[in-house]
Amino acid sequence: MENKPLNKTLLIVEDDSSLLLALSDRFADEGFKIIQAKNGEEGLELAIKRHPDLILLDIIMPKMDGITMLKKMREDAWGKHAPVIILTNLSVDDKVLNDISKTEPSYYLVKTDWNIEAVVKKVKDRLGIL
Amino acid sequence: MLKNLNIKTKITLGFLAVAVFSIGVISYFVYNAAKENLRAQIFDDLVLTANTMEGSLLNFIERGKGRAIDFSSDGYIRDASRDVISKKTTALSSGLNEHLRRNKMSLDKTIYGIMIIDLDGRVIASTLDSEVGGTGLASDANFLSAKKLEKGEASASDIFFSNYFGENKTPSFAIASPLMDKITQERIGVIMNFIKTDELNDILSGRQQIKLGARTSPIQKRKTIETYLVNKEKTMITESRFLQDAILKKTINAEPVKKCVEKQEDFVGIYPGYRGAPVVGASMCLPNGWTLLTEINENEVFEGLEKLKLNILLLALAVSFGVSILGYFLASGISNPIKELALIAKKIGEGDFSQRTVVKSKDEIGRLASSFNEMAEKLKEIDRVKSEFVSLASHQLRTPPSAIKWFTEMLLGEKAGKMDERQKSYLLEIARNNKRMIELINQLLNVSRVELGVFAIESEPTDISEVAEETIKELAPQIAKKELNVVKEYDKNMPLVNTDPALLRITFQNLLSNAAKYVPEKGTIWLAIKKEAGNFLIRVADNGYGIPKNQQSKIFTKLFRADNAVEIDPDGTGLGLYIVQSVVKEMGGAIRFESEENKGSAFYVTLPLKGLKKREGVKGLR
Repeated sequence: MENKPLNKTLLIVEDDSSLLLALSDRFADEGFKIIQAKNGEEGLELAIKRHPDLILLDIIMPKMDGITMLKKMREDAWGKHAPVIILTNLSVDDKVLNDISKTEPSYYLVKTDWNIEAVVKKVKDRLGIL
Repeated sequence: MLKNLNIKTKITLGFLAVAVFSIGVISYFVYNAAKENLRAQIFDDLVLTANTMEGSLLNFIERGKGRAIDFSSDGYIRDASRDVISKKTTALSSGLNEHLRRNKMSLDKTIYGIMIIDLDGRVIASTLDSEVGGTGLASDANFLSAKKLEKGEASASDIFFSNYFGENKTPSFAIASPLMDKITQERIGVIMNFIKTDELNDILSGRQQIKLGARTSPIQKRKTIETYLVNKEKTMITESRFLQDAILKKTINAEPVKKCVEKQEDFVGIYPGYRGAPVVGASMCLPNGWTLLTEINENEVFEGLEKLKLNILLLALAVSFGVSILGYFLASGISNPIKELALIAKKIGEGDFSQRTVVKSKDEIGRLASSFNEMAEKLKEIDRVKSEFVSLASHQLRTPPSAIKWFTEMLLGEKAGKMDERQKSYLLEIARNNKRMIELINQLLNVSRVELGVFAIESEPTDISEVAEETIKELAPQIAKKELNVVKEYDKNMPLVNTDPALLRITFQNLLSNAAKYVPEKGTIWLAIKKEAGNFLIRVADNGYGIPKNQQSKIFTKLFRADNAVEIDPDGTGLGLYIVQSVVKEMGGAIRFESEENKGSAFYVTLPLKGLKKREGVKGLR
């Protein structure tokens, strides 16, 4: 069953098709408009073009990884303040995530630790939706 | 003890030893050579001097003999003597005496008396009238031998104290020559000249040369050199430079005298002198059994050598010192780079793979340094590869279970349609096993981090009890569910410790969750944090199921689970305690335990008070 449309757009940047499907379906159910990107390059382009309300961002991706995309996006006037939640399966404090605070994501979570319901709640909190 | 010295000291001491040894050996040989040289030279000098003296002495005696022979051929003397002897009257002597005095004795200053003696030994004429008629010389050896001589020959006596001619113990010797009848050529008597030994002494002492006009006498430059004569009876017959009144009194028993007297052998060598000190001396043996000795004090000869010895010693010290300094610098040139490399090796060993050393030379040390840098570079590369692997592994391993987790969640949440109870129960099984797999993956990633050594120690001042409290809060649901009793015992005024809070958290999480897991309902967990003997002591104990004795030795090994533990919690990974042990070790501490089946377990972790210093590496354990 679907909720009524929320008038919010969510950009999901994730290279794994299963996870992308799970996230897209779940958030679509909640009433979000979903934009999908399979790698950082696509994600950057779509973010700048479509100005989503929030971005769910994976880190390890081909062509351009999540950190690089985020850094580039932050250089954009709009991109500087776009809310981003990083979804990753890297361990907390993995070296790759060294620079993460500099890119000011709103949040950072490890996929295997989080129920999808909790992710939904987090997104809604961040957007101020009840 | 030698093994404990550092290279710098060893090399410097080595140089010093070589220098001292070499200089020692060389000095020894040089000194001995110099001494030998000097010895040979002084021997030559002395022999030369003695030889020269002998020459002068023999000349002197020859002159004396010549004089006597000369007198013996005087016509008037022969005629007058024949007259006195044949007429057996000494009334005619006075003329002869006068002749002797005026015409003969005056010719030679050294002659102080002349006698003419008949064949019976009676004095028939003398430069001193009162001597006439005396028969004292009848058995005189010189007289007796002169009697047997031919015309033109003379004989010299030994040196003796003379009381003739009014002398009082004047050292003298006499030269006699036979008198022949002018016509019959028969012996009629002996003419004897009495000579003082003054000129002899002048010759031997070097005064003669000065008197004759020489400006210097080298003999007088030497303080202890002297030449003297010793007769067959081993008595000194010429003057001593040092002793008054030695003539005809002092006995000389030195080796050269013995050799001359017994074997007529010349001698040069070092022997005890007649004054007690050792002398260097050369002897010339005279045909009549006399020994001519030229001697000089041994220490006068060798005093220059003593000075040489001192100079050599000072030189040796200076050179040894210089060589040691050289050795020290050379050694520094070797040991300093080595020390530096050792330091860098230590830092690399502690995990800082960015350390490099400056390659300053092309020699062996330089090559060692280059190899070092290459090795460090490779280690850095390996480190990077390892950490990349771990990152990649965690990402790749976790992705499928994440998908399973979310899809099962959504199915259970009936997002894809209604589920009946059976379907839901099966989905729960899937979810549970997936959770188990995720837990196993997490622990395995931690283990691989521990084994590859790629986690960093982020050391900061930490409050141990605070970390403990946080962990207990996380376990609140389990504690509440099983109605467990938690007894806390924290020391008051505990200082902060420099350690990694993440590592500490892992320790507490594992130990406390184990305690909570392996006690029955309403069981008790004790948590004590104390200070003890330079360490922090953490005690986590329970009154639960304990560990069977025969399985206790394996409790820290990877993937091991005791049988009773598997029964209580089939989903455990068996990795928790292995990780705790590794982590505690990284924090510089130690872990041990006590346990009894069905009574409970107590785990003790000690951490050093001084804490841990920071280490570079890849990042933390979850």
